[in-house]
Amino acid sequence: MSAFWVILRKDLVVEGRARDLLPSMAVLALLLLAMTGATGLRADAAPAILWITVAVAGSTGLVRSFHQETDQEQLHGLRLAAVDPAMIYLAKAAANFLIVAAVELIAWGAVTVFFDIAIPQRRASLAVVFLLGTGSLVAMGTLLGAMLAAARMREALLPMLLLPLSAPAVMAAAGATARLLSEAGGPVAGELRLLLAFTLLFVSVALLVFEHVIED
Amino acid sequence: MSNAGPLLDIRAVSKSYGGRAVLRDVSLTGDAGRVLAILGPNGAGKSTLLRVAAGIARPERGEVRIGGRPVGEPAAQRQVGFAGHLSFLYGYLSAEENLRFYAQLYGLPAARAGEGLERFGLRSHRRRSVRELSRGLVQRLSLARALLHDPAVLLLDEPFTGLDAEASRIVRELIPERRRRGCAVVIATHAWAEARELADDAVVLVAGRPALREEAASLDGERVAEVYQTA
Repeated sequence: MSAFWVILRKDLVVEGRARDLLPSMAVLALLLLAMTGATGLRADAAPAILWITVAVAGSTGLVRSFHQETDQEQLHGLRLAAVDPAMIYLAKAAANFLIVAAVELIAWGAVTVFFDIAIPQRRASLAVVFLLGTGSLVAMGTLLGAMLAAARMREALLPMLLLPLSAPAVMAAAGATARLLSEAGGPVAGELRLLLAFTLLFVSVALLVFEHVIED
Repeated sequence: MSNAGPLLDIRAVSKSYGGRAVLRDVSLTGDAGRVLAILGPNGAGKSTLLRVAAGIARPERGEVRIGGRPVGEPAAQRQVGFAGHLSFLYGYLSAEENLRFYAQLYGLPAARAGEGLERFGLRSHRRRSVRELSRGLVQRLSLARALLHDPAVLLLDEPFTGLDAEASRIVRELIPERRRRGCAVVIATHAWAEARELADDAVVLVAGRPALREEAASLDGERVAEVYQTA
């Protein structure tokens, strides 16, 4: 089994037992959606609210995703085993992707209730928007989580950095989701290209710098 | 692995943290079948030196070679076993799962995890999560992790700190056993008596520089204390 799968499996087992990320992110997302839903906002605001909620909940959770690699300097254990830093990053990002995607599923369910939204016809396109939107958020959030793992005010710093950096991706994802949910419809290829470019850019930057990020 | 020279070769290494020099032009070798003790008062740079030797901290100047290859190269890195103040273990995994995880990363058969548990008297604790284990048991498990891949260079940072009597006995047996197997063993300690008992060679580090080098058997407590005073 490659290091990628070994680390990904370990991360999911640890999250399954520690319940460190998913419950807190899901509860925060539900609270935000319930509060905004209760204000009587129209359904066409739902996509923007959904993606902002995911970005906020994600940023609070991703900051803790490296805690399990730093409280006993486990990252050094991985480096001693000569694990390629790129594999460490990709495995952590994949685990974070699955956790954030689970939060999105819960959030999507809440949005359909609080904003009375029907499941759209173009489900495959919507799935791609979610895939790439989550990919952009997680690619940058995982790198920032690693960079801030040892920082004193990491809980405050990660949202402050991730939210503006991911704003173009969040806006593109929200715009595409809105178009897919509206009766008028319209093409979303531009937003998908932008999201793909963001995901690839963030992953490329992370792969280039991650070795230095995890250095002592 | 090319192995004409020492197994561990630390050449003119300097390292600082936050502008404070922690290691200053340190050169040391760890030879096959010998135990080297790094002595020094708190803050002398012992732990940093071991971390640099293990390849988990990068020096600003100088280099470290393991079996002739630069540390950091996978082939060199996998020859190093390191047990330090922190365990590198995952609290939510069991003792056995932790060793299996590292065995998989090293490309070893899962059976090695069972052997490690057996060797360090942890078999009856194998299903307990690390966060439920006592400090002494975690220390034993950390040693089992460090030895899982049978490294040629073993680096132990204060290996007796926090150990119970049984674990101390295991470590006291382990060090000469590794020496007999031709490994280079380096122990960082502040206790000169431990160094004299277990090591062949000793280096006293003061303020990041080697201040005294001699055979461990001739170490004298008063002299070591005098060297410490120069810090």
